[in-house]
Amino acid sequence: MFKDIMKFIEVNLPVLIKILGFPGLTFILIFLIFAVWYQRKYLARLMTRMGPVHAGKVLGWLQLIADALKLLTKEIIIPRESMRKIFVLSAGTLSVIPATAITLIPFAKDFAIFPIRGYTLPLFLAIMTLYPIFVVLMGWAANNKFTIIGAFRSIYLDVAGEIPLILSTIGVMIWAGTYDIQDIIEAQKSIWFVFPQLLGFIVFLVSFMAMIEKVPFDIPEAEAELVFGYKTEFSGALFLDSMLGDYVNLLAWSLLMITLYFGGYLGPSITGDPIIDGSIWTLIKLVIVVTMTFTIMISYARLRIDQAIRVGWNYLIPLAILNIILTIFVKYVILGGG
Amino acid sequence: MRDMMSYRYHPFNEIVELEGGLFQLNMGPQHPISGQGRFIVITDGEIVYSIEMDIGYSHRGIEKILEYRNLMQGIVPIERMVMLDTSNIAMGYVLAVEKLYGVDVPPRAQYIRTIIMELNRIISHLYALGLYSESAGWNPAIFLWTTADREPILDILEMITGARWSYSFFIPGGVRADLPRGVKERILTTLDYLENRIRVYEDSWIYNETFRMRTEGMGVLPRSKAIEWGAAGPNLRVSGVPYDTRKNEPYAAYDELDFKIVTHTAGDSYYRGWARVEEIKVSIDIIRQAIENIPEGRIRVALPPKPVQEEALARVETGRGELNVYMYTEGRDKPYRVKISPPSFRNFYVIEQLPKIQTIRLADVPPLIYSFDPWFLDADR
Amino acid sequence: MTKKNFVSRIVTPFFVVLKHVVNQPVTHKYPFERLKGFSRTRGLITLDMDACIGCGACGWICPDHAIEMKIVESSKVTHPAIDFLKCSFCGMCVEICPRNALDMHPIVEIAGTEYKNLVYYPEKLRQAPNLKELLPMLKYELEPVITPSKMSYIRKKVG
Repeated sequence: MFKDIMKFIEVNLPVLIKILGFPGLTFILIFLIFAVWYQRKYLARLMTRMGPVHAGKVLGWLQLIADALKLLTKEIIIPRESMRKIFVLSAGTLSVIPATAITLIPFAKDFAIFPIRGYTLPLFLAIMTLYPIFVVLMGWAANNKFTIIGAFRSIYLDVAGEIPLILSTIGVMIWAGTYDIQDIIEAQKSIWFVFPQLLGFIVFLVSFMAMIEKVPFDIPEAEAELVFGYKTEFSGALFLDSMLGDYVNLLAWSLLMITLYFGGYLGPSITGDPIIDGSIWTLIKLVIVVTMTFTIMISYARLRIDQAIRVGWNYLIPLAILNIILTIFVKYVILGGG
Repeated sequence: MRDMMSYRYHPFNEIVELEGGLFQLNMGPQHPISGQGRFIVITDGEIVYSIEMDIGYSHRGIEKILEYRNLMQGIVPIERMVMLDTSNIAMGYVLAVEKLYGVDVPPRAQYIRTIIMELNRIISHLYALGLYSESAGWNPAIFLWTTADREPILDILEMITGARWSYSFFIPGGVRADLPRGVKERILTTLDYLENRIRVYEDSWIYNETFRMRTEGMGVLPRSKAIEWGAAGPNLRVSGVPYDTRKNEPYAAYDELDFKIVTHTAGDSYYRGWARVEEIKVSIDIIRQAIENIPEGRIRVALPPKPVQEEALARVETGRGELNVYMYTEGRDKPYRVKISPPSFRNFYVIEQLPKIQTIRLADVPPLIYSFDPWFLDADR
Repeated sequence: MTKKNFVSRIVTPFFVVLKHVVNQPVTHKYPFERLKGFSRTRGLITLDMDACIGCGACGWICPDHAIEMKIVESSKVTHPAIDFLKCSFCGMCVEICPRNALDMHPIVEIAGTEYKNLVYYPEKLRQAPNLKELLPMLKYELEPVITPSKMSYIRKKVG
């Protein structure tokens, strides 16, 4: 039995390294730590103050570990009238969906965890559509009237945000002429798609902020009558779980943005090895996109739910459809197809 | 609605279900957005039917304390009444005592008082802008910028008076000390810095599309209702009533300075925020004029031994509106009764009456309340 | 930049916020950095026992009733004891003293662990003969501002 396990590991070693190490589980957890630290320091800098400086001299990185340890030692309170098993299990399921979708994205040429070719972009979008189901599950399991209202508001927002997002990716797919993520990246060798698809990028950016639920679309988190929307009743380690889900969602959509519009892993070579090069460029672009997200997060006020839905249906969807029409026109009529 | 009166005796749960599908929310003293007060909001989930303010959490009995203090000693407790705007309120008390004794304050003291009061007005408006933007759902960027911008002004005030907010500087008969050497250049540098920062606030806060979407057209206070319900301060002026105590009954060198009142005709929450930024600009203008034209002379006169009248009424314009101080002494050195009528108390009445003439949604309640700049310490005394 | 333009109303806040990255943070790491004060900052009150005549005017004028006159063995008159838990540092006692025996210094770190340590009996209020001796207690860096008026709280010690 032990020999069988050893043989299994030996045969599948590269895939196991990819799943458990980079760009898999370890990368996601390190990204969580980095994103929380970066958010606290960078946002503090924009507000003309410093973030945590005391724990872990100068950079304050030990502060996160201290906060995580504090959360782990707090008591987990499960409301009496909730559905207990689903309540405990649903806290962590939110992070499974985006993590599954991340396996499809190549960090360097032929270096995705799941290196299939074919229809990976629609598959990615289809996996991410399952996210609202688990939001409702979290809100429902707590059996609190106001968390359910918060969860439903999150679904209104998700619907109003996801449709323009998918429509703008259709524009990219038409322009590149392929469904495969790696082919889309390779087709950006001459010019990044953010320039010919500028209208689509703007639509994608606004609906991206709606999908990851940050200001100005912060609505389910801070505006429901109770304090925290559908994540209210989780405390202690379960709160860490729901925070993990939030940041993995951010990671998945940011990776999609950089593959579709900013050229993925392409870039001038630093070291000779293509895998390390691609990974370095992906990480640099990821940090820039996360910085831009945080700056947008702090510059605007929070919209009401009806205003946010109005933005989605009245402005974003027509613009996305206009983008598709313009793309078809330019590519097939002016540039002669291909 | 009569059976809804029983909610007052209900224990402090966060949400109470009433009949007819209505809920009562207690945005209580432990809430991320309330100050030191409680808002009782009756709603059906989307539209608000009534807002009621429950104040009294920070009542300290200032009016009673003043009955046990000398007319000179009284300047110390009264500036603990409102901690942001202290010199305007101290001015009200000092003005009332000077009317009792019939003294003529030397002009240099009046100019120094004007400078300090206008600096206080800038501080108070900056803080109000920060709280307003935080209640509209910003990550506290604007709040922290305005709090950081108050630091140079607090440094100037510490240079002149010796403390950051509890100045004890205005005394019946004048001011306690003269301006130190080197403060004029410092004030002018700080005013230039503030003008740059006002431009930053305009670009990123007032002319911000999401902020306009959130507050424009919400909570409109019509002109007739503003006069009937007794709004105070910039809330009144934005509804089309050009009433400012600094122009109507000038005190302390305001009659020699040239400034304009900020008015507007739309009475909604967006313009209440706009008006405060414009008033900061007007205050900067006033301070520049006062610093240039300050006369030489004494800064303090002695009070005569016996008062001339027995009662006096003084009106001043604080950052929130007009404040009245009525003092009745029976000819002795401790007052028999001091009555202070603060502006925030009157603004709370306006907030309570607004849901009756307008539809207000639940999500709009925090920006609406904070656009009136309520300061619970002011209302509770 | 035109502010009435719809596009600039959405885009301008982003760049205005982004420009704040280069601003200096205003955080003051207090116990590890010294505070900044001014020479007029109102703080600790000290007493010159030789000049004090025991008239009690400081106790009469104090708005917080924080001064009590106490008997001291080595002297013929009573001297004030200040309760710093009640004192609001207004400086009226310093102004009214007819012999200028009380003096105010910009020392604001007057904390203690027991109540009775904060009631400064007259011996404890003794004035240091020299401002330089107070410097180890002085966590403030003073800004040199000279006041020309007679009614100031601080008398600069030359020495």
